[in-house]
Amino acid sequence: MSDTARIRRRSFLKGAAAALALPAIVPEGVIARNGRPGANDRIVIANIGVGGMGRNHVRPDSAALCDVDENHLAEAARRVTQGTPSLYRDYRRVLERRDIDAVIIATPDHWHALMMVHACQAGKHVFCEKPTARTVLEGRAMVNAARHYRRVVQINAQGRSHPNARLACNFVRNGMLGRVRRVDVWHPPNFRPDSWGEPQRVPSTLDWDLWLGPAPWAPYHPKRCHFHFRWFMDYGGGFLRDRGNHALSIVSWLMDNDGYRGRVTVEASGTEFREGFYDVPATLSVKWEFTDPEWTLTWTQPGTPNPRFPGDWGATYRGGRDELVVLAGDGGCEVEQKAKDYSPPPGGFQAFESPGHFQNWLDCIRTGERPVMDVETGHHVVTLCNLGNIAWRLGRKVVFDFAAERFVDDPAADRFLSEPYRSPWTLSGFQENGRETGR
Amino acid sequence: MTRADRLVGAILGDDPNARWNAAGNAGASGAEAIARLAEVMGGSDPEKSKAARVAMDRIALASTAPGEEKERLAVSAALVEVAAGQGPVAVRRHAIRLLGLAGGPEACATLAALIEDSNLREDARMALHRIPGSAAERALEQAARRAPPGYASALVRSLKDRKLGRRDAGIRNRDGD
Repeated sequence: MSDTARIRRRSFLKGAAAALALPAIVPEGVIARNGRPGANDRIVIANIGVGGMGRNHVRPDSAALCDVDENHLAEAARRVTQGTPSLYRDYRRVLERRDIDAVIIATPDHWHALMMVHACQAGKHVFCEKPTARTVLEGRAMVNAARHYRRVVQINAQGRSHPNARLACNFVRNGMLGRVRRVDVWHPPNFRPDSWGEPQRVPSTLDWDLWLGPAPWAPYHPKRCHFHFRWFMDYGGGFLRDRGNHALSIVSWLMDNDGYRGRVTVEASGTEFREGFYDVPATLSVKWEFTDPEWTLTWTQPGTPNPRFPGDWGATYRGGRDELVVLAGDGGCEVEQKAKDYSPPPGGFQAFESPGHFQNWLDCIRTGERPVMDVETGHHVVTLCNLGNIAWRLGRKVVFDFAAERFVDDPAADRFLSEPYRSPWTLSGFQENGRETGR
Repeated sequence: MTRADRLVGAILGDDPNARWNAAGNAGASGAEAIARLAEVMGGSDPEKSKAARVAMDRIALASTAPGEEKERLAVSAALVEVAAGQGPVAVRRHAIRLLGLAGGPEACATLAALIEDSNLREDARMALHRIPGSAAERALEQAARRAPPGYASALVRSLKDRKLGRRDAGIRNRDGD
């Protein structure tokens, strides 16, 4: 019996929020005997969320496209040049398709966890846009679902596949800076709002209720919806969880922090936008203090670029012997020449050389290996971002225990570990740390 | 003049710097400011309304700090008054949401009653969903028994989610469980 055959139809029906009449969900046609597609098998891909960044993920041969905005669908369909994709408004219809092996999720943040967990339950591998999750418990649910259903889940923090980031990683992890005790990330401020968000009529091409999904109900306004969602805590988390997710992903990689299970102390300060209806901070400074090993990470927004190697956003790694500046860390990444000129010694640390972020995902679907930005790493990185936002909202210093995935002696802070979902959506059964329940 | 007087005065004043400085540092202003801030939040000046909302957030979340139980109870009581009052729906929804973060067992009966209001029931359910402890579960159970058939399933789902999926986050010790 293949891996996917073990995925019980009942499990998906139970987990999916609404009462759906789903067919069996095993994409048998392309799954090889060991549960993985063979080297020559085509991996049939569908796209969920095809506006914004999702537009760039549409493949020439995408089998299906899904979006709550008909305009997005129409535009995305024109990008498919091999065959005619099926078009859907509701992602659950895509997951019903037996012939689809994998999905690319590029919706706003507040949908990532539900869609990814349901996709795994339906037997699909997932390529999910960053940031991984909106909360700690969502991230945990995603990791648990990926592991339980043995799906390959790559988070699109694609800096992990960038050649310059890899060179920087080799430079830092082989001790060329000495012991790094501080990393300072700078970034421009969040976008300034230009509206108070008076409710507007929902466009006939948009399913606003489905756009909101698990988020609390709010009246429609175009500056609440496409792209601008990132300036609202209910859907996004400001630049800290947006580009900051990229920046902190590179930091976590270079600092060998992905597997950190100790405690981190987080404090934050910031200012509000005085005008307009965005609720993310206008300016934000966050400090994370790690122990064992001791080092400090800061995020300053707006921050001052390092004059030695300036750029719009980036990080300075401050070691005992030297410093290194790494700029950006998403699809673009620059690093000082000294890191480019460096070759690790024999036996030294060699960062994984990705063939490209998307190709790495496809390769891992075939081999069963973990991708370079596996969902568990994505969960760790976005948790750093979320902790910054939580500390800012609480207005006090918090201590978070990565092993327990909860705050230390601050039960009120623990209430931020999850966000209640609007009915009928639920992630029940996948949140517990290290094990799964409810099936 | 109390701290609450100074806070509300600064928010209603003409100096935006004073307004936002007061709102951003409102955490220690105390529960007595909540009702007046709710009134300003429901007013017609969008900037003053937003500043009042920010100040309410700061007060509510500051009251959840360890060791501030007496203040948290006072804030929760003030938020309950706003949630159950006659103010604009948007203001009541915000108070309910803050009860999900700062409320405890003392807020559960009011939240359960608000589930009977079709404009507020989802916010009240989500607040109860978030409040840990047996009082919130009992409130959800009671609300499920009274809710119309089309909505009872949402309450049952919240109960199930709490029991199955969520760890005991929150103010468990305050609930005496």
